[in-house]
Amino acid sequence: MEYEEIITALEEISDKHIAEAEKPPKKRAKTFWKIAVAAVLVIAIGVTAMSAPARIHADVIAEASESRAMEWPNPQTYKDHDVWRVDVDQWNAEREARGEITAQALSGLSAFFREGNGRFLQTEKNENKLWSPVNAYIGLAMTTELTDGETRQQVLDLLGAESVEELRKQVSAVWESTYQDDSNEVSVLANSLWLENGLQYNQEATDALSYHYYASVYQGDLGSTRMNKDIAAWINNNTGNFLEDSTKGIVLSPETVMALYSTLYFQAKWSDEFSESKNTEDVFHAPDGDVRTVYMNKKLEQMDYYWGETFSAVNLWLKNGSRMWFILPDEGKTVNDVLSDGTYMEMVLANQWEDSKYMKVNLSVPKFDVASTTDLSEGLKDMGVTNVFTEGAADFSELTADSPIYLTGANQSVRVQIDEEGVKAAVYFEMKGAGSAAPPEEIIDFVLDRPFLFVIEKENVPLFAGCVNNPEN
Amino acid sequence: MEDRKIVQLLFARAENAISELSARFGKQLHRIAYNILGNKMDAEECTNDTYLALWNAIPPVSPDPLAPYVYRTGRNAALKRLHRDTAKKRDRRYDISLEELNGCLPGGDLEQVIDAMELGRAMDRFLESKSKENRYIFIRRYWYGDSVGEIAKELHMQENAVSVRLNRIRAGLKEYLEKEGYHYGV
Repeated sequence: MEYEEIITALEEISDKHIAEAEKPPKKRAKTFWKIAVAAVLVIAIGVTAMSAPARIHADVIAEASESRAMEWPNPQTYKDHDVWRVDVDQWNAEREARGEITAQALSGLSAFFREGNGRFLQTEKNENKLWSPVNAYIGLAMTTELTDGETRQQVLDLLGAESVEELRKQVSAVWESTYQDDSNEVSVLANSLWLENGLQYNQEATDALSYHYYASVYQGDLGSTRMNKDIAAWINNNTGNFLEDSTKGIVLSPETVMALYSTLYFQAKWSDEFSESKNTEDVFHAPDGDVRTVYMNKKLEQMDYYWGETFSAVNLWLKNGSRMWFILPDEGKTVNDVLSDGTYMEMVLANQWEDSKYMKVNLSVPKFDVASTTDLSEGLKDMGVTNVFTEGAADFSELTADSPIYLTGANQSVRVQIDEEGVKAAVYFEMKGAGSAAPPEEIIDFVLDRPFLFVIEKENVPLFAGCVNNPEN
Repeated sequence: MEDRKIVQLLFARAENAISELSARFGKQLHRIAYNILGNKMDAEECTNDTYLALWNAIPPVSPDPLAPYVYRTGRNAALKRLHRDTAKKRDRRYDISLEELNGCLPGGDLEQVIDAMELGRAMDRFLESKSKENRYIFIRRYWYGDSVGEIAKELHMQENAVSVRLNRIRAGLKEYLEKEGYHYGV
C-alpha cells in the first residue's frame, strides 16, 4: 500500500481510541515499586551532576554575550494572544533568515572542512584522530577581529568570507544554529580571550569578540599557576568537566601574552537507543593487530544506506536533530583512501545523495570513548594561513600596538564517547601567542569492525569528525 | 483546566485560550510533531501552527471530545509539513513505523480513498476487540508515531517485549482483515 493510503486509513481510528491512548493504561500496584526506585536513582544522579562551576579569578574585561536567538514563543508564557501571534511570525522569520546565512557560510566553508578532514584525520599510526571543524572555524574566525592586513586576509580566504563583517554574521548564525542547552540535549559553544597583565589592548576588538563571537575576555598573569588553573577551570566549566584529563596539562609559558580558547560541548541521546542486552563482544581489526571490543547492535533496522567509490555509510539520528555518520572504507581500502577521495564529506553535507537506498541493516557499532590532541598549525599553514604563525609577519595590530605578537601553536583537544544512550563529545581549541556498486541484497550487514570514520553534524554543520583506528585505545 | 472550558475560552476569543491549550496539550502535540518530523525546531514551529489552526477552527467547530480533535489537527499539520519539505534531511522514524504497519496490510494499491477509509474502520473494529494495553501499544506506535523504546518506557516493559507484542497484534490484524475479505496476494 502507498503511505498516503495508510495515513488515510489511520485517520479512521476512532476518537475514543485516540483519547484512550493519551496516557498509558494503569498497571497493578507492584509497578509503583519500580517507579519509586527509579525516582530515587534520578534524584541521586541529579545531585551528582549539579556541581557548581569553578570560579575564575582573572579580571573580566568583557563578558560573553548570551544567545540572541529569539526563544520559542511558548503560548503558556503569553497573556495577549495578538502579541503571541506577532512573536510566532518573528520567530519563524528569524529562523529562516538564520538558515539562509548558515547555508551561505557552509558553502564557503566546504573546502576548509573537506581539506581539514584530510589533513587532520589522516594517520599512519595506530591512533585515533579527532577534530572539530566548527570549533576550528570559530577559533580561527576570532583572530580576524585581532589582526589586520595580509594576516587577516589569509584567514578570511580560508574560511570563504569576503569581509570581517560578513564573517561576523556567518559565525553568529552558525553559533545560534548549533547552540542548544536544555536538560537533556546540550550543544554549547564558548569562546574566550586571555590577555597578559599590562598589555594595552584595543577595547573595540575585545568588545567585538564579546558581542559577535560570544567570547569572554580576561586579563591576568599569563603563565602563572593561578592563570593556568583559571583557564583549565574555564574549559571545564564549558565542557561539563568532560576534558579534565587534557586540561590538567595546560601550562602556558611566561612569554605568552595572549591566548584564545574555544570550546564545544555536545551531549545528545540517540533517537532510538541501543539496548545493552543486545551488546556483543567481538574482534576489531586494528591496524597493528586484533583487539576485542564491545559492539552495540541493531538487528534489521530500517535506515538509509549510502555508498561512494571507496566507502559505505549509515547515519543515526540524535534527539536534538543532529546525526552521527559512520563511514566504513570498502574491503581493501583504508580510511586514508576515503579521506583523500573526499566525496564522503559531500555526502554528509548534501541534502540528498543519489547513491543511497532505504533498506534493512544489521548494524554493529563499537562502543568507544576516544580522545586526541592535535596541533593544527602545520595543516593550517599548508592551507595558506601562514602569517599568523610567523614572527615578524603576524599583524595583531587590531588587538594591540604593544609588542609584536604571533601564534606559537593551534592545539585542538577532542574527546568523543558513544554508548547505548547517545553521544557525548567535547573539544577545546587553543591558540597562544608568543566506490563500489549498489548493495545487491535487501538486507545488509554494516559491521564497523575495522578502522572507520565518523562525522557528527547538526543542521548540516559538521561539529566533530574522527577516525577510529582502535576503539580500545 | 477541563477540556470543555478550553472550548468555551476559544468561543469567547479569550486571550488565555491558547496558553490553556498549550498547558493541556502542548507536550503531547510536540511529541506527535517530533515523531513525524524528527526535528525539534520543526516540531516547535508545527506546534504553534496547530494552535493557530485550532484558534481559527473553534468556533465555529465545537469539538467534543476535544483531545482527539486537537491531536488530529496536530498530526495533520505535521504530515502537511512533511509533504511540503520532502527535500529536507530528516529522521525517518515515522516512515519506519508506517513501513512496519504496511507489512500486515493488504497488498496492491487501493483504488479509492474510500477503500482506505473502510480499511481504517476495519482496523478500528479490530482494535476494539483487543485489551487496553495492546490498543495503547498499537495506537501509540502507528498513530502517535512513538518509538518502541518510548512505549516500553511508558509501560515499564522491556523493548523486546513491546516488539513481540506489536508483532502479535499485527499478525492478528492481518488475520482479521483476511476474514473481512481483504486479499494479500500470493
